[in-house]
Amino acid sequence: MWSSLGIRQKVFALFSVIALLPLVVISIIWLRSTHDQLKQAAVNRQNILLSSSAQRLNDALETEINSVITHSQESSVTGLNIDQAKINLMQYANQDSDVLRITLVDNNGNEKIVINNHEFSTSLNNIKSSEEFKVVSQVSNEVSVSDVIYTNEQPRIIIAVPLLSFSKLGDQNLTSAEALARRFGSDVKGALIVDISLDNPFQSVLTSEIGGDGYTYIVDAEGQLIAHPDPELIKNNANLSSVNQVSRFLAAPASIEVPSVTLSEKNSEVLSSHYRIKRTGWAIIGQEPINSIYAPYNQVVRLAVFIIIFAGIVSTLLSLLFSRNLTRPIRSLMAGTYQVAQGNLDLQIAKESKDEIGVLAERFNTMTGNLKQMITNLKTEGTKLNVVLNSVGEGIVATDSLNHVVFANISAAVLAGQLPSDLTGKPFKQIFTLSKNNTPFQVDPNSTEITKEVVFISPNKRLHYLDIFVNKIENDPDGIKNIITLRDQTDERELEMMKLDFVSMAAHELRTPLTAIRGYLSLLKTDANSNFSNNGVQSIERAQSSTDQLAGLISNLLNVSKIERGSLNLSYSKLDWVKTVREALDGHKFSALEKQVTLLYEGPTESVPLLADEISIKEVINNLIANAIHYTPENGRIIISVREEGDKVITSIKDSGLGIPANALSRLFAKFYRVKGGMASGSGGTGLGLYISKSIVELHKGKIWVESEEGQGSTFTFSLPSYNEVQYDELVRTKDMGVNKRRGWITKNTAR
Amino acid sequence: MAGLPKILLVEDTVQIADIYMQVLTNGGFTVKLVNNVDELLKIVPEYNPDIIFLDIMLPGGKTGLDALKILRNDPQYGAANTRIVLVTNLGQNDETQKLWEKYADGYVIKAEIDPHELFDIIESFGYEMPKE
Repeated sequence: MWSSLGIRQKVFALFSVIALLPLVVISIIWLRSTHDQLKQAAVNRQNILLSSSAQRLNDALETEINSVITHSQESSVTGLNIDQAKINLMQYANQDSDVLRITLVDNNGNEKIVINNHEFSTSLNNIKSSEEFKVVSQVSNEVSVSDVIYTNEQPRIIIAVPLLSFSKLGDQNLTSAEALARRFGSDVKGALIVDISLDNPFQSVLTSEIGGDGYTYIVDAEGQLIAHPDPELIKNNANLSSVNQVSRFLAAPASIEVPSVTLSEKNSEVLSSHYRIKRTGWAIIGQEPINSIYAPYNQVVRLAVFIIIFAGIVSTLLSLLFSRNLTRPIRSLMAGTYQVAQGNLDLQIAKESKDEIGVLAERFNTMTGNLKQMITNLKTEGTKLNVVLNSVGEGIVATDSLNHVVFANISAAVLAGQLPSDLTGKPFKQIFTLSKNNTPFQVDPNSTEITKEVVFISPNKRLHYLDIFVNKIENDPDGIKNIITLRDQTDERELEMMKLDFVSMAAHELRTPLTAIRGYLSLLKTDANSNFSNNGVQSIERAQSSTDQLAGLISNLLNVSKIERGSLNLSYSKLDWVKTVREALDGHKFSALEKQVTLLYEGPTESVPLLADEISIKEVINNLIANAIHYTPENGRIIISVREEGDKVITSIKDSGLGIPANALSRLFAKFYRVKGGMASGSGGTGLGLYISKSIVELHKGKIWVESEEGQGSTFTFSLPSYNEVQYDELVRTKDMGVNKRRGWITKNTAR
Repeated sequence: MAGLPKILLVEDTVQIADIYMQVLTNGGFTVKLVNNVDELLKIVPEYNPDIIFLDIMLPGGKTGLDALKILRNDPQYGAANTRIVLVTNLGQNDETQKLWEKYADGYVIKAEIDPHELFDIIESFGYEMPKE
């Protein structure tokens, strides 16, 4: 998905992640800690306030109660010495502004002194049945503290203290409320009952605010509301035991509460706790509205959201700006590449910055330049190649794996009689219908040799003789598989034929006078009537020998022209090879003797049959022996060996002559080749003998080769296929036994 | 084979005709010479030779090969069994090769032989040589 986004979207996403993510994370952490801090502060605040409020209220109550107890222990009071007690109690009432009313009663419940609003009351009643008196005098003999009573919206409590005789206890120091608890009822002489206004202590509690909107209220041990900032609730005499915090207090009055979130008496969510007032068992309930606690938090949240939104907007704008800046050069690059793809290589992209994109644009321009240069070069090369290909005389055709034409040069097209472009795509064999030796010829891509004399008849009916060569191309990117070269040899062939015709004609014309000379020499020599001196006879013989040589020379020339034409036809017959070789040896005995060269035969003595053209194969062996004698110095030795090896008969002529230079070996069998240097002297050869010998041996499906080392002599060897009956039937056309063959003539003595 | 063969020489080159005539006559043979195909065809029925030495290149349009075909294929010449030896200085081409194999009894390259070898050729057909 990411890869399918454009750069703009990517930049935007990246900017958003970079800019907003940390902000969001920090905000969350910050908000959390703010939240915690706010809560902790509220908790602390509440704890401190409640404990101090509770302490204050407790202290105030304790002070009032102790003050009542102290006054109850004054001797005038204890002894019910009314006059003295009046003075003391009035003093007490005047000193303590919270004292609303002081009543001194005897143990029968008769009021002895009543001070009301700092004035002695004259109407004295019996309050035996009042709650305070009952508690103090009869039930517990302890200090009695009444519930809070509201009169005219003023809270007050009534503290009643029994008047006790201390003599019985013998402990004058017991002044505390605890000590009083151990006294006995029978000692009660009366009671001091004091109404205390709680307005001041309550106000001091209620007026202290918790945070901004928090407040406290007070409930008694039964959950009855005794002080609340809202006077209406007091008026309604509300019991708040069902309020969560109050019920928690009621369930465990002694515990110190950690402020927790709960519902208030007004059903709103508050952080609330309570603090117990030891003296009375009341509880100060403190509560602070959650809303007010977290009011700063909400502000912070709003601030964070604002910052995030602001950062988002800024980063969006920045990303747009940046991506625009970033993509503008890229877009111009894109436009540039499109232009280049369309072939406009002259385009230069403006470089707008020095950053990577600027470098890219610069390199793009360089690349375009190089590309242009390369294309120009390629075109030049292509043109050069075309010029070269089209200027060569050979037809050159490139084909693909199906042998369809991919390219053809002008020469090929001219040969085919079509335009080069018309050849492209056509199958090669459809354009060039070839034949060789009157059978259809297919170009063989695997052949590495030149196929000669392939016939092609062009559309204008002209007969062409082609040399065809195929070059196989491996892994060509253009799919070219073969390069077929067609060399039109028609003209050369005609020229060659004319040459051969000339040679053959000339030879024939030479032969006629030669025949006459030869004939007359023979007549001269055998004429019984002529009287020649020995010298004369010798001259005639030498003339005969020369004419023989000349005849042989002409015969060789004719043979060469026959070989070149391919018209040297062999007339096979069955020979005894051993006999043939030995006869040839005998034939050279005289010239060997003349040169004092030893001729030796090594090989089987029994007959070795062979299928060969008797005349031409004799020419081969005679030629090789004559050469050997010619090149072997006096007292040298020539060994002619015959051996059978597998399906071959191998004949070697080994001399102890001059040897052949290594550089001459490869060309030794070439037409008209003669070894230069020392060997040339004394050699009367025409340079045709070995060429003819090689041709004859090869026509016999044999092979001829030479091994030689200069100074060590040479060994010429040729192999011929062994005799076999099947070939005899195939090859030997004149099977009659009456055939006579000699050099120069052949007859068949068959019945006519 | 009984007796000396009657020989007909067909040769237009004067010197060669002279030599062969001398050799064969000196050898004791009966020889007649003609120098073109028409003469040859004229003389064969009346002379009825045993052996014809037939040159191939002859003047007058028809070659020795034409003559060979005519003599073999036309019974009026009665030359069906006559030994006919082609005597030439031409190398064998395909046509010559074919005709010699089919119709002729011998093939001689004049420049390659000594004229006395004509005796060997005659002998190769089983004729006796004349006594000296």
